[in-house]
Amino acid sequence: MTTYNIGDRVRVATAHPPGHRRVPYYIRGKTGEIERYCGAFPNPEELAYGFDGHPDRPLYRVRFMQGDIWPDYKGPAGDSVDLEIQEHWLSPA
Amino acid sequence: MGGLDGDPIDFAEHDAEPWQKMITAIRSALGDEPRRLMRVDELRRAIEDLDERDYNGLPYFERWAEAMINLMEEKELLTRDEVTARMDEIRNRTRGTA
Amino acid sequence: MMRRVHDIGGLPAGPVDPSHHPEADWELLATAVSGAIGPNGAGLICVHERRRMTEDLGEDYDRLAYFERAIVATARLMVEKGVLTQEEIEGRMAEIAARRGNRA
Repeated sequence: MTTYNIGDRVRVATAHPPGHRRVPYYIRGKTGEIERYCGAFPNPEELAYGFDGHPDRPLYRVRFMQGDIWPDYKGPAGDSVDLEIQEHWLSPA
Repeated sequence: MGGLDGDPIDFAEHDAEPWQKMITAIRSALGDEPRRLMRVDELRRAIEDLDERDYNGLPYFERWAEAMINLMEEKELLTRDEVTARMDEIRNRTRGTA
Repeated sequence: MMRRVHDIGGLPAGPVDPSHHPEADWELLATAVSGAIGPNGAGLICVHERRRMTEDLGEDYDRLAYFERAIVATARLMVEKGVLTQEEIEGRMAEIAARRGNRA
């Protein structure tokens, strides 16, 4: 049982906290669709500081349309990019 | 700074200034239901992340104010320029009525 | 300001050079040291800690090459964790440099 199911629309948090963060700048605040559930993994944002990263955080592969990310994207309309993002960065869109 | 050498503590009670109450009210408005834009742990972290000059130079509630501005910028809700522009606007208005 | 030094996805840049070049000996050694102190070795650091310390390099990030970043970050982690002191690291570097200088 996971919070998000395949096909759910999710939004990446618009947040720029200091420290080791696993979500690139260009995808923050963008909306995509759950492509698959990858399993639950220790949180690398905690592991980076010597903590154990538990409890494990659900990890999803999220599909974003290139045209939604880059304002001047000139490639085919169907182009997408997949990013694997842990649940604490996502909210329902 | 627990355990470091320090001067005696002044235990005298003093009333909170209106602006200090205002800062507390803003913290509630940002952090509590229904907005929940900021958690107290984030505010603490942002206060600890102030540079040494600000942390040691600013009184308690001004640290809060500085840290809240930094958090609002991190979350792309407000810019520091917007906050200072609004401060100037209010300063001019209150000067006019004084 | 918001974007940290390593987080360059989407920024304008020149073409990528995909050609491969053989690793220098010191680059292989850097990888070996990382392995020896990593989770499958002495367990002193994990890759996430090294990434974090690499991202924290600030201005040094763009000045240093890939393996140099890893070496500096690893050294700083050893100091952060109290495994080595900066003086011990620099002393050993000077010792090795002197030994190599004598042989050359």
